[in-house]
Amino acid sequence: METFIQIGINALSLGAIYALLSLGFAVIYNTVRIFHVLHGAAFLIAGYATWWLAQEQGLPIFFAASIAVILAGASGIFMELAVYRRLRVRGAGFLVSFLGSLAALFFFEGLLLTIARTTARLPRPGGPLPTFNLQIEALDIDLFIKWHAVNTIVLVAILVLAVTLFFRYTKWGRMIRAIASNPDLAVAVGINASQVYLMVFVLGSTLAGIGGVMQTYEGGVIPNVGIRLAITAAGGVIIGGIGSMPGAVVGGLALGLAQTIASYYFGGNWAIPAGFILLLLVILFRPYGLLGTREHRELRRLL
Amino acid sequence: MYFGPIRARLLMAFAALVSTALIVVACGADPTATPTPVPPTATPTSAPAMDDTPDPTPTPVPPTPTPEPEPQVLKLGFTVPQSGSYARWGRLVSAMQCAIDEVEASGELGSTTIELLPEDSKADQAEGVSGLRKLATVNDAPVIMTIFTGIGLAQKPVASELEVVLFSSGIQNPMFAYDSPWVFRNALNTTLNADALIRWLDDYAGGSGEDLSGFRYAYIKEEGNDSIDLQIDRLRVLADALGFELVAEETFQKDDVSFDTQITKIRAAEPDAVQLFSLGKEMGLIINTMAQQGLQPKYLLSGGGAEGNTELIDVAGAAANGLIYSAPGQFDKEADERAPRFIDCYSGKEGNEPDTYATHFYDGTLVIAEALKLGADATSSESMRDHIAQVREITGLAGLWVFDEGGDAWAPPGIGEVQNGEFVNLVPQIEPYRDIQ
Repeated sequence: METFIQIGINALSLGAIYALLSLGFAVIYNTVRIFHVLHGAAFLIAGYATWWLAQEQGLPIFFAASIAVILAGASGIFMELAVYRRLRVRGAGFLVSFLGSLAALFFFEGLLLTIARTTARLPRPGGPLPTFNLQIEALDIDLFIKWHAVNTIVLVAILVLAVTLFFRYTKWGRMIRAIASNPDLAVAVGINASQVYLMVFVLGSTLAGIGGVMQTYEGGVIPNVGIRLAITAAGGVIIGGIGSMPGAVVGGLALGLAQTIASYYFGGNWAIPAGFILLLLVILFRPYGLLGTREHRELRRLL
Repeated sequence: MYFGPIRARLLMAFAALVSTALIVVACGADPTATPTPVPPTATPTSAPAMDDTPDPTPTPVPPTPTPEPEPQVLKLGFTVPQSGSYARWGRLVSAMQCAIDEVEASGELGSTTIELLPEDSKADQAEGVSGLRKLATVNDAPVIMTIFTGIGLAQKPVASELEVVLFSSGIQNPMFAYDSPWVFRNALNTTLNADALIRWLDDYAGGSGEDLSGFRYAYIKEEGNDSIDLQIDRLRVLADALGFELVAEETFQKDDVSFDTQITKIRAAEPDAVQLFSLGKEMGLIINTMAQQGLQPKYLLSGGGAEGNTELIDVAGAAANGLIYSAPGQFDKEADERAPRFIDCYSGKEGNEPDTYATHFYDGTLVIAEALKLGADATSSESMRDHIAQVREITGLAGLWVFDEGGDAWAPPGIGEVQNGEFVNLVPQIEPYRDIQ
C-alpha cells in the first residue's frame, strides 16, 4: 500500500510537469498549426534565468522565478516574430516550419552549451527538498512526501483551471478559439490573426516556462533536453487528443503515469520508451486521442 | 608557320646548344662516382733511432676527442580536451609538465629532454584520432598520451597502424591495454572499484568490518555505460563468492532528473548498503531523492565517479556527507619527497592542488622517463615501446604501480569519504580479492 501511494505521487508529480508542457504546446498548435519544437527553449530559458537570477545575482527565489516566467513568455513573442511569422510570410508549409523550428532549437541549445556548459545549474543551495512524513499506522504507511511535489500538483491544477476559464470567458480566449476553429472566417469578422498568434505564443511559452521553473528548482537544468521536452509535450497532445485542451492535460498525465509504471516494473531505462509505446498504442487504437473526438481528426491531417 | 632556311638553322643550333648544356650538367655530378680516395692522415710513430743520439721526445698528438652524443628530445604527444565542456581536463598538461621538469632537473636523463606536445581533442573521438595522426606523422612523436575511454579505444588501432606508442594514465576500461603491443597505461582497472568497496565493507566498515553473509546490497546505475557494466559483473561475482545479496538493481538514463520511482523500489528492499553508479550530476540528485524519501542505508557507496565530482557536492550539499567512494590509488602527500614539489608546481600553474588524475598523469610521465633511463632511443617508437615494456614496477606519487606483460598496470584502489563537502582519503590502497575470479 505504501509503495502504491508513493508510486502514485511520483506519477502525478511527473505527469503534472508533462501536462503543463503539453497544454502549452496544445495552445500553440491548435491555433497556429505548427509543430513547435522550439517549445523546449521556453522551458530552458525559464530554468536558466531562475538559476542565474537566484544563484548568481542573489535574488529571492520567488522573484527570480517570476522574472524567469515572464522572460519565457516574452521569448514566445521572439519565436513568433523571428521564426514563424517570417516562414509564414514566405508561404512555408508544415514541414518547413517544423524544420525551421528544429534548427532554431538546436542553435539555441548550442548557444546554451557554449555559455553554460553541461554542468547542471541548480537555483538553490544543494541538498534534498523539504518533505513531510505521512504516517498511518492502521494501513502500515510511513511515507516521506516532498512539499515540492504537492506544490507542483496544486499549481498545475490551478493553471489548468485558469487556462480553461481564460478560453471560455475572456475576449482573448474567444478570439483564440475563433482563429483555431476557422482562421479565415475569424479574420473576415475582424479578428487580428497576427495579434492572436502573438498571444498564443506568449501563453504557451509562459506555461512551458512555469514547468521549467518547477523542474529546475528540484533537479537543476542542463542545455540539451529541449528536444526531449518538445517531443514529450507533443506526445501528450497526441495521446490526449489534438484540438482538445483537457486532452493535452490528460495526455501529459498519462505519459507521466506510463513512465513511472514502466520505470518501477522494468527499470528506469524503460521510462522514455514506455511513453512512445503508449503514443503508438493510442495512434493505432484511438487515433483521435483519449479525449479527442472524430471532428478533431480533421486537425490531424496536418500530421 | 614557315621557317626559312636561316631560321631553321638558328633553331637547330639553339636546340643543340641547350642539349649540350643539359648533358654537361647531368654528367657533372655523378652520384655513383667513386670519390677520389684521400690518403690517410699520417700518424706519427715513435720508432727508435739507429744511432746513440737519444731520440727527441715525439710531440704528443692530442687524442681525437670522442664526439658528444647528440642531445635527444623525446616528443611526447598528448591528446587532451583543452576547449569545450571538458576543457578542465587540460589541467593534466600541467601535471605532466611538472613531472618532466622534475625528471630533467634530477639529471637522470642526461642530455635527453622531453618536449610535451598537447593536442586539443575536444573530448571527441574524431578529433582525438585526428590529433594522434598529426602528432605521429607531422610532429614525429613516438609516444602519445591520451585520456577518455571512447577516444582511447578509437585511437588504439590507429596507433598500431602508425606504429606509435599510445599511453594513458586515465583510461580505466579493461580492454584498452589488452591485446596490443603499442598500448600501455597506468590506470586503475575499473572493475577493481567493486573489490575496493566490498573489501572496505568486509575489513573496515564500522571499525572492524561487516559480516557480508546475508548483507543486503542495492545499487542504481546509469544505463549504457560499459565501465559501469563491468563493475556490476564483478559485483555479482563477489556477491556469489562472499554471500551477500543483491536485493535491488535499478537503472536510469543519462540526463534523467527524476529518480523517485527507482528509489521507491530500493527503499522497499530495505538494503544495508546502496551503491551509486554514475559519473555525473545524477549522483547528487539520487542522493537528494534518497533523503527525500527517507531512505537512509547504513552505507552509501560509490565506485568511481565520486572523487573530485564537485557537481555532486553542489547538488547534494550536506546530504553527500558520509558517501564512501573508491578511487584510483590515492595521492599520499606525506609519503613522497616529490609530493610537495609537485603540489607547488601544479598549484603554480593551475591555482589549486592536484587531484588523483593529475597524480596519475604525473606517474605516467615517470614511466616514460624510466624507459629513457633504460636506454630507449627517444626518436624511435619501437625503442620506446620495447623499453616501456621493460618497466615492470615504479613507485610514483600514487604509490606502487605494477605492470604486467601486456603493458597493463594495476595499483590497488583506495577508499575515501565525503566529509563536510570535502573528499577525504580513508584508506590509500586496498587489496583487491585476487583469489576470487
